[in-house]
Amino acid sequence: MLTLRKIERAFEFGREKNYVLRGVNLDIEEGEFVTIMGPSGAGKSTLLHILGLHDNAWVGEYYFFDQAAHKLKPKDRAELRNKNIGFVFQSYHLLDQLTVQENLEVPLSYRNYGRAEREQLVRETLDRFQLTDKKHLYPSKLSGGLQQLIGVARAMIARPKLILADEPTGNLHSAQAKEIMEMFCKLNEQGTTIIQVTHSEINAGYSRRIVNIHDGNVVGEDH
Amino acid sequence: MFWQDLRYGLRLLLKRPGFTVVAVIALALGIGANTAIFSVVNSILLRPLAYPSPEQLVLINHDYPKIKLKASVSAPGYKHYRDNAKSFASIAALTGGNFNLTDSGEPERVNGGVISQNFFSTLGATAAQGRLFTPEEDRPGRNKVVVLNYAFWQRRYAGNPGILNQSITMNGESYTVVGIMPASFEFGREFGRPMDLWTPIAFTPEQLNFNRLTNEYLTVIGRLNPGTTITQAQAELDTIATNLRTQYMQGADRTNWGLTTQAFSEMVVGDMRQPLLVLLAAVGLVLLIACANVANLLLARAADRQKEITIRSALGANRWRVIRQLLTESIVLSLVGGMLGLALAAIGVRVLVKLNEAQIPRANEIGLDWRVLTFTLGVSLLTGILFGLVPALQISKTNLAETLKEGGRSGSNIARGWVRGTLVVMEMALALMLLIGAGLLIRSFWQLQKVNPGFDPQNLLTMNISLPQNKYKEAPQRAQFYQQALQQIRALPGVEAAGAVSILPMSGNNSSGSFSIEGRQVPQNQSMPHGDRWAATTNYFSTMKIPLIRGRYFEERDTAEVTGVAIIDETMARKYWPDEDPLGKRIAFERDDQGNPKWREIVGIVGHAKHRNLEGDSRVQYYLPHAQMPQGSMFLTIRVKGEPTTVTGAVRGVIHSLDKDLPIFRVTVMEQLVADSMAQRRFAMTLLVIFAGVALVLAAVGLYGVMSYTVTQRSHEIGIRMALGAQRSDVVKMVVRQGMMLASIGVLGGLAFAFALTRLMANLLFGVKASDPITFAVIAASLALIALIACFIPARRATKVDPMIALRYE
Ligand SMILES: Nc1ncnc2c1ncn2[C@@H]1O[C@H](COP(=O)(O)OP(=O)(O)OP(=O)(O)O)[C@@H](O)[C@H]1O
Ligand SMILES: [Mg+2]
Repeated sequence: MLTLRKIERAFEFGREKNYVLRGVNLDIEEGEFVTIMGPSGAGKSTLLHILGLHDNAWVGEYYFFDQAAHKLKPKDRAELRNKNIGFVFQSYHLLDQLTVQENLEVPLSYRNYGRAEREQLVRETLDRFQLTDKKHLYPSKLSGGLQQLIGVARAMIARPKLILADEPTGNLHSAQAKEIMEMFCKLNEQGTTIIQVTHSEINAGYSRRIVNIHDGNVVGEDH
Repeated sequence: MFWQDLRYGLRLLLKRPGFTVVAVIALALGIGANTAIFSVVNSILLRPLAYPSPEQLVLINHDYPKIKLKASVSAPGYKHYRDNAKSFASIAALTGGNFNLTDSGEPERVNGGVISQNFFSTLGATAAQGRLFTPEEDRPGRNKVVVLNYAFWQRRYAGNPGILNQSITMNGESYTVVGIMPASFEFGREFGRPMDLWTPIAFTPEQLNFNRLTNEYLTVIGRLNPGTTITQAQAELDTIATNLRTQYMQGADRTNWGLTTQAFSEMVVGDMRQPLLVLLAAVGLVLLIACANVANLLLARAADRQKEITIRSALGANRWRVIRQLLTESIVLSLVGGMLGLALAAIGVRVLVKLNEAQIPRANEIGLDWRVLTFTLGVSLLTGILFGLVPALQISKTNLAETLKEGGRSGSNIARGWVRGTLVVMEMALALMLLIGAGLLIRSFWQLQKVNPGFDPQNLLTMNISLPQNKYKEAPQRAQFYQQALQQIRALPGVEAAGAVSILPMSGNNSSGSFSIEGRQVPQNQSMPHGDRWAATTNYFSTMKIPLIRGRYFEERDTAEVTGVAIIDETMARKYWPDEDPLGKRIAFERDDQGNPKWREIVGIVGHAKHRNLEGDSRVQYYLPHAQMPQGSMFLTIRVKGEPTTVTGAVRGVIHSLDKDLPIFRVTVMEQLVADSMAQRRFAMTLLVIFAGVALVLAAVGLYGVMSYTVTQRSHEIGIRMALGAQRSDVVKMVVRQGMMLASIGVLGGLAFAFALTRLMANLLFGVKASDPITFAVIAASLALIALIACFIPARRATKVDPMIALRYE
């Protein structure tokens, strides 16, 4: 599904170029649940942003199925992303001024969904995540675990093939983290490919493959 | 405590030069505009005239209410009021006397006043050198004495005191200079320009006969007795008028004649009052916009201040103490803005006065005095409180526990956003009102320029010549002079046509008179027909291109020897002969020695020529051939191929070859006179356009500022949205939608207010309704467009938000 070849990413400080990723090669099959691990500053988030097509400043080859993402214009990359990728963030990043229901609707509003279709998807998703009775509440009134649950629900509402999660449980108690991980497993069983970044061995245990990154290189994989 | 706040406030301002500069400029524009207009209002409307107890000075006029004619006063009338009206301490009279001064040097036409002996004492003036007139000098033969204006004395005689008791030659007669007025005495300025000199008026017994009661040519100024009101004086004059009517008047005048009074200061202000009040309102709005702008800037800074204020509160400062500190800061800001505004106003006013000296009454007096300074100080303080209060109340409303807990991102943020939005909406609404006001004035001006004056003002050179009475005693002499002069001027190269008229359109002068129509009796309670009456030479109409509608223009055969003729304008034809042919009908305005009307036959009907200005003329017009009414003072009108002023020198040569002592004055081109007639309107329009422009810039900057700030504040949210799939266009739309929401509410509110308020300026408009839909629509659309641009720039910046960075702090 994903093929990365010789991905390089550098940040410039004045005249200096600071390479964060150098020559990353990575293959990910459809239906996998992958954990990326590595020490702080290794470049995990940077890699995830590249996978998520937010970042446009890298070099190398990136095939998404058979599409050469590295050859696409930013606008087409965005379209590819919108069609296929959902995000879960460490600090949830729900929109405070919107209700739960409205938060779920945000990704749909940026894709071509009719109004009725949108309402139906929101209703279904609320049902599926058992959030229906909370739909009119504002996120700040909810616990961290519930907020991240909404984050996950929001990530998959537009039926992405791939979910990217950067330390999704970093701010949660272990019990809440467990719930999220179980939700990932459930989604993965239903066919969604999941790539998560985490520091937690326990969370990594939910996935079926671990990619280790050190100093900008993939240094080993456990299956 | 105060000094500490002050020092701290100053230090904060210096620390943030960007904010300070923008705020000070906005305030300087707002306060400067107010100071400028106030200083104009102050000198024209508020500051008393430069005479002692000026509120006692009252103008008296003869009044013909039925034909809405306010006339001057006749000699017997003046004498009667002076001797009988008990409300007045004294009553003075004057008439404009134009003298040809022909002593050493270039002959000069001087603007003199022929005055009653008590004129200076009525005004409360004394001579600076020499003396004023004695009571004996009020008599014929004794009145060849003259008092000089200070500036004239400086200019013409280089301030030489030796001129006292010397004689000068005016209109061929010798006058003795007896006095020089102080520099502060500039009588005449109130009517346009100061008079150069004054000489006593002397009435002959014949001139004072009551059969000349309506022979009106005197300007009469009375000084009320202390404690007497103008209403009481009017009541007394009403009684006097009633007695005169029953005693001396017959027919129509008996019911349609009276006396009317007006405060002298009121006459001076004239029709400036309304435009000035509109302008004063306009600059008030500009200041409000500036205040809203600065308040918004302060609110944007509120987030920065939050922590400081929280700590201060935690250390024991109560809310009032916090507000006081914040207000001190904003007042410092407004005082700095006020000082800069004062400088702007001083420059602006000087430019303004330079450009409009001739058209604004008392223009010379406009300047900064203690009243203006007080005003500016007051406005600055008020402004500081006005724009400082809202942010101060907002910022000081800190809930300690909440702020410390939430790290600054609290509910008060939302409230603040709401306040900021409201301020921008207000700015938009105010700017729209000003723009619509300016738009209406511009449209009026356009409409006015499209008005056909009834003649062709292009390529017309005009000038005034006045033949002195004693040198050109006989009527034929005067007729012949102009005939010869015009003949020679026509022969000049470049001259296409030349004529002359006793009073030129747009010259600011006029004369009118009643007439009777042969075979018609004026009913008892109606007034006699009345119209503008001028003498014109044969080629006047063709030179001016005043169209002949029927009949003929004046011709050489219309001499003094043959029966009198007249040409009337189309409005007179329509008014008095609606169903008949006026040609061949006869009118009269004089009587011969036997008291019989001197009938004149109407031989032509010409187009109506706009006289006072391009805005409606109501009176009908009729002309007499100069040969039959040979006036001494005539305006030459000369149509030239190309630039009219190229022949000025040659024309002067012709006149001087005929009479070397004859001064030529008011040399100008007709287009200039037409433009001058619109000067006051242009003045008001220009200022309102400038202020509306300032308002527009301030409002657009305000909207831009709020949107920029919003974008900065929402960059995190925008980052999330982009991560969730928002395209650049979605982000632009989102920001622009938010901004345009504010703008539209502002525009709609502004339209509603403008609809209500522009009515107040209805009589400043011409040819356009106060609620003109086109102006409203075009202005609203333009403002919306500018608002769109003001939103679009921050919106584009919003698309530059990098989700990677926005989301990074997790
Ligand atoms: N926008 C940026 N500008 C400059 N340097 C950056 C930027 N983003 C990341 N870096 C640098 O790149 C390196 C890798 O950062 P990255 O966030 O990918 O690390 P990480 O593996 O996710 O670490 P962590 O476990 O702390 O989240 C770091 O040294 C970081 O300072
Ligand atoms: Mg990271």
